[in-house]
Amino acid sequence: MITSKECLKNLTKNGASYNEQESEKILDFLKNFADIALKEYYRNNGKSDFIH
Amino acid sequence: MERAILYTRVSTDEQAEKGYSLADQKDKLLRYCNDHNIEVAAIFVEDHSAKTFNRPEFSKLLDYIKNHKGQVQQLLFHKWDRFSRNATDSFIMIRQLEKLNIRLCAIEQPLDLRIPENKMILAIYLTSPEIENDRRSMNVTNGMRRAMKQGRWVCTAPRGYSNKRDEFNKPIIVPNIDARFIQKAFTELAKGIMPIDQIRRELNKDGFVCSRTNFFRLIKNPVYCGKIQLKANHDEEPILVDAIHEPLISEELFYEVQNVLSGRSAKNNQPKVHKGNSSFPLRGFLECPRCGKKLTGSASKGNGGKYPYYHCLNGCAERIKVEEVHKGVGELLKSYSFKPEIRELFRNVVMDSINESKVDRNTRISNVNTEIEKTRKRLDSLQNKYIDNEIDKEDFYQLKAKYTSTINDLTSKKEEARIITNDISVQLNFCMGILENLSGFYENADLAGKQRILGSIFTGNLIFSEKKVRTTKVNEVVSLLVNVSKDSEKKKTGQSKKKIELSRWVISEGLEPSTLRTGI
Repeated sequence: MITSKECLKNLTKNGASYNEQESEKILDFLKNFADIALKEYYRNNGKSDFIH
Repeated sequence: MERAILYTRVSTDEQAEKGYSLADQKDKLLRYCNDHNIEVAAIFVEDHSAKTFNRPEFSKLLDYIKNHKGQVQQLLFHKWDRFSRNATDSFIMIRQLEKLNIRLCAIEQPLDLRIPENKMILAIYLTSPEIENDRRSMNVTNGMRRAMKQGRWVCTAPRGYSNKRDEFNKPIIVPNIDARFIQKAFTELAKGIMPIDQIRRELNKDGFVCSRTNFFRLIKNPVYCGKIQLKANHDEEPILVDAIHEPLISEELFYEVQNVLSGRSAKNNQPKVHKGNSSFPLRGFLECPRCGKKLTGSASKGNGGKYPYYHCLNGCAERIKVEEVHKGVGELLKSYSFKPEIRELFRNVVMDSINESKVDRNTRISNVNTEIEKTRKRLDSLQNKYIDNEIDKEDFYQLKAKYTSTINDLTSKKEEARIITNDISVQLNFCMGILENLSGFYENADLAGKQRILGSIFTGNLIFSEKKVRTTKVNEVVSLLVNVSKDSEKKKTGQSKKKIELSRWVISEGLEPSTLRTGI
């Protein structure tokens, strides 16, 4: 499986890759979204904070 | 004939043994005066440390000099370390005495201070004792810390204990007659019924006199449950070590009391925090369309029911029905669809997060295992104590129930964590929902989840007007990752494409960092 960073390299904006700063911001944003989603998953499944 | 003051000083018995005795110093000084034809004006005998000049006899000496100005020419002492063990203070004092026309002379280390080069030798004479002091102090501190780390309490015994020596002649603290008061204090505190100070006053009446400040310090000291708290020093973090002395109370009781204390202090000093209300997730995000201030949310009573509104606190009568705004936010989020190519990237990010939390989880499982094992040992020890009649039946059953419940809780937590490691694909699919159906995900999220989603996407406020929610600023990253659907809006409102786009968001120049708004 390819890593997030490798995956990000394949993304383009008008044909050009995102610069380093943009890439970092995108990853931060998606990590935050992933965290929100995972927390929701644990909450929906009645898992405690310990699990997350 | 010159007149001189003689100054002798000693601080420890050890110095007396080394030939620094006061009598010895006095003899040498008197002989020196005799040999040099000096008249003795006064003799000051000090029994004090020379770390500072804040010494009783030295203060008297200074007063004497000031009161007999012009009548005394010299201050004589045996060696410079009798004068001071602090180089910085010494130079200041020498200058002060020179202004009073007093010459200083260490009879066994004579120096003519009128010769500039001699100041270098003087510096050596003055610094050496200070270095010696600092080194000794450092060795003592390190030695004490080393002993404390080995669980040996080497300071003055805390209340309830006495300082003794063990069979190896090493310091140890042992419970004394006050121990029962300490035990009583902790037992009463753990009940959480009586106020702390009332417990202290009750103990005072029983004969355990303790000030309020000391009592507070005492009940926070883990030494009573067989632990020693070591403060951080320049190269070590603070640590809690197992002590070798006999504890007066159990660890459980100690932490129970700490919980009671923190609960109480939290209540007493409780800051007025505006708790989040899940009925108003947009508090702090909504801007008043009239005055630009933030809107808050509350329910109005009327017609036999409660009706929730977002309203302005600034005096303008802006009031919006909660369901209308929430619907508007849902529609706004519906119009955002993440670009398909982002999904693969997000899948990777989620997998990374799951794997990270898996590692973290394994560490926690291992910690829980340790905790379970520790509690089991306590339970075994409790049973042995009960068999040996060391504790009564009531205490035994109470503690047994507590330990068993702890073990059950920990075991179920561990099992939960194990189950969760097996359903990674389910987790992944669930998480992808945030991208695939953002508005639906938002709708089902709890208050914190909703606010985090809004805070991640909107860096500016949300404004509700004409039955629609728009925003002043969107996180620049979002604009890179999503497509905004405008067609549906165009059909509904009949507005031009450009106008809708502007009303949806205003993108700032440059790449703004993602700002998360937490709490309201």
